[in-house]
Amino acid sequence: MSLSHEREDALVQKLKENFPADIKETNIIRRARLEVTVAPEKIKDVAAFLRDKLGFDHPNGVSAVDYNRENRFEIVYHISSMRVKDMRDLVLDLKESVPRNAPKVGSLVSVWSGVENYERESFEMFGIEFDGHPRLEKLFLTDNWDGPPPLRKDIRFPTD
Amino acid sequence: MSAPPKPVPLTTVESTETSESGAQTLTLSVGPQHSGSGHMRLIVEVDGDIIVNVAPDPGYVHRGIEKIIELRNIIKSIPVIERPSIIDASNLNHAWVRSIEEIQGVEVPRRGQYLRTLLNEMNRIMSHLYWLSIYGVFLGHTTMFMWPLGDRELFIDLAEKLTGARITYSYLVPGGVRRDLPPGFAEEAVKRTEYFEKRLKEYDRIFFNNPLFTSRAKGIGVLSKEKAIELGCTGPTLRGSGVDADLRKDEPYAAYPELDFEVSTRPDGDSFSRAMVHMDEMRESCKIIRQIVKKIPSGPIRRKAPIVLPRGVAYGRVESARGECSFYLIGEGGDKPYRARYITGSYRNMAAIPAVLLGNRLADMPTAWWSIDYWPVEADR
Amino acid sequence: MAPIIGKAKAAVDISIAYLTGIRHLFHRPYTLRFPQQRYAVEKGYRGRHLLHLDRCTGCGICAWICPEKCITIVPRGQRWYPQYFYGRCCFCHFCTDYCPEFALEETVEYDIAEYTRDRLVWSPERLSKPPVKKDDKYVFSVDTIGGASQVPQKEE
Repeated sequence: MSLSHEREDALVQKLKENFPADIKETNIIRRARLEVTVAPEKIKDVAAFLRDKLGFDHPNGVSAVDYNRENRFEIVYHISSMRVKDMRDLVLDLKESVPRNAPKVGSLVSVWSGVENYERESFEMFGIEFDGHPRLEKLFLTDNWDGPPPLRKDIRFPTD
Repeated sequence: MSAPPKPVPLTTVESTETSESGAQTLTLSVGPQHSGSGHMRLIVEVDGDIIVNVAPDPGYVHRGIEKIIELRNIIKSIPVIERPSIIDASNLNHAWVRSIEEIQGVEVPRRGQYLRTLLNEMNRIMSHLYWLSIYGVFLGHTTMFMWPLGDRELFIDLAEKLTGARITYSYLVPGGVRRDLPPGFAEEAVKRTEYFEKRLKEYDRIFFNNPLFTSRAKGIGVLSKEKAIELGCTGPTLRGSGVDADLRKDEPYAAYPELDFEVSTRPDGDSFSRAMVHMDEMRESCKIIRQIVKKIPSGPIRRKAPIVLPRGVAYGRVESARGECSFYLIGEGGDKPYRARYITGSYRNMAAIPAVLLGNRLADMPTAWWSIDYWPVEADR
Repeated sequence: MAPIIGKAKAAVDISIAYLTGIRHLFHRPYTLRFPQQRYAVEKGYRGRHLLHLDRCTGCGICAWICPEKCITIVPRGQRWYPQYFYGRCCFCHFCTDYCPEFALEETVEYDIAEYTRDRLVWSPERLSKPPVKKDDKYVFSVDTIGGASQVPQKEE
């Protein structure tokens, strides 16, 4: 396996050409692992571009990360491609940041319908609201759970 | 997908509603007590006995493992990471150590890689056998319930010889594996896999060629290729819909680039295809195990790895028995990860449940539902 | 014509399935009658721990690495030793791996169920006794001949 980053560089180049103002940061972690930080307002357009033009049609999951020291949440869409066979080993992390006191972002269910469950989990575990989600309810937690979102960093449990 | 049904109260209450078209539908609560569903509930809306709406209601075995991992040392997390799917423990463990090693930059010795692959493939067979036995009992085929559980013992014994534990091995640690091959393991593994392949032919005769099964599985629960990709399905569910996606081939890890095996796919996308993909994978795994014990190089099994997680990000993923298991791991320099996102194969295949069940009859639900190989504990984490 | 062929094939397949099942009526069972018949575990099985009191320095690394926090370090005169609570132990044996003095060892003793909860707390003295050898007449193992088979126990 070659260790060059040509594919990743080409992807970043294409994204930057099409969205010069909205791609805030790109980072190649290693071969086949790529991070792209996007402005939250434009994430839907970037996602649709990734799906239609670059072949990223397979959602792998959605992570939410709580950076409470920097007072923000980060929502990471892990997406990969099934259509382009040479890119099946590549995972693109599409990231967006929202302030911690007003966590509200647009949902990407209309782009990848498979992210529905992951966004629901981020909603209940972190309290992030997804605009345009068809069914923003609790997924794993019980319906009568009224505590704070349990995976936030400021929720402490007795530990070692 | 149509609009989801309203949540029903936590009883087995069945409510009747009249839709706009005038048809009367009935909302049933299937589960959560293993009534053909496992530790989860499916809220099913039926019109007559045609399923018109399905909403999975998981969370009955949710443990908050992502929070537990954040509060524990990376080594101490290994047993708890195995717990969501103890029948497929080593594959989940592999995803964890793989993402840790990516951040730490530790190279595993080749013998260690081979031993990891060996246990992974044995685990894949065990997990598929467990799935098959439950599939048998769902369809009322008691023999198919007993045989796979009995034959699973062959591989549990092998794994016990290798690791010292029967089900939850905690065998893979950052840097390598914990024990070397015991003497006499290779002959025993060859003997047992060859015997098991003979047994697989008997499974074909008693179950998979049996019209009692094929007439219930063929054409039931169809998931098209496009839908499977769009919903993010993975593992046998995706391969049963005709996509030849397998991380062991697409992103070769551990010893897989040096081994010769095939990715089995079926084009139809129905329950029968998904079941046959499981069978083919067991045959391939037997071949892989025999190759490994023949080819395994000598050398160290483990390299020293630090017990801390340096600053960095990794997305480590492996092909577990139920599909891709991945960790999105963020380290910040301490001995605990800052965030460990744990996405398992069953969790990803949960999106396929409504797609597979819609439009089928209620009596076909066990066939279609369990062919996804959805393991509720693994999905809830 | 085709439906008849299909029906005939189905009848043949069903008969094959039944014959396959009937053949297995004469095989040995997989199951064991547990206390009388024992399942054979090999040396290296991760059963309960064996503590070598002379080697243990009481450093507490076992208690630190234990994921389930089942180990407490208790004083015995001038020295300190680990005490196990088997109600919590998950038998991962990280303690055995991480012991710098090789004072802990895994044993093949796996049936350590007790009637009361406090009997599950194993003091250092109890841990230091080697496992009692069970009657080796009834040791069984699942084998490739189909079903459970009796295996001769090896001399140690």
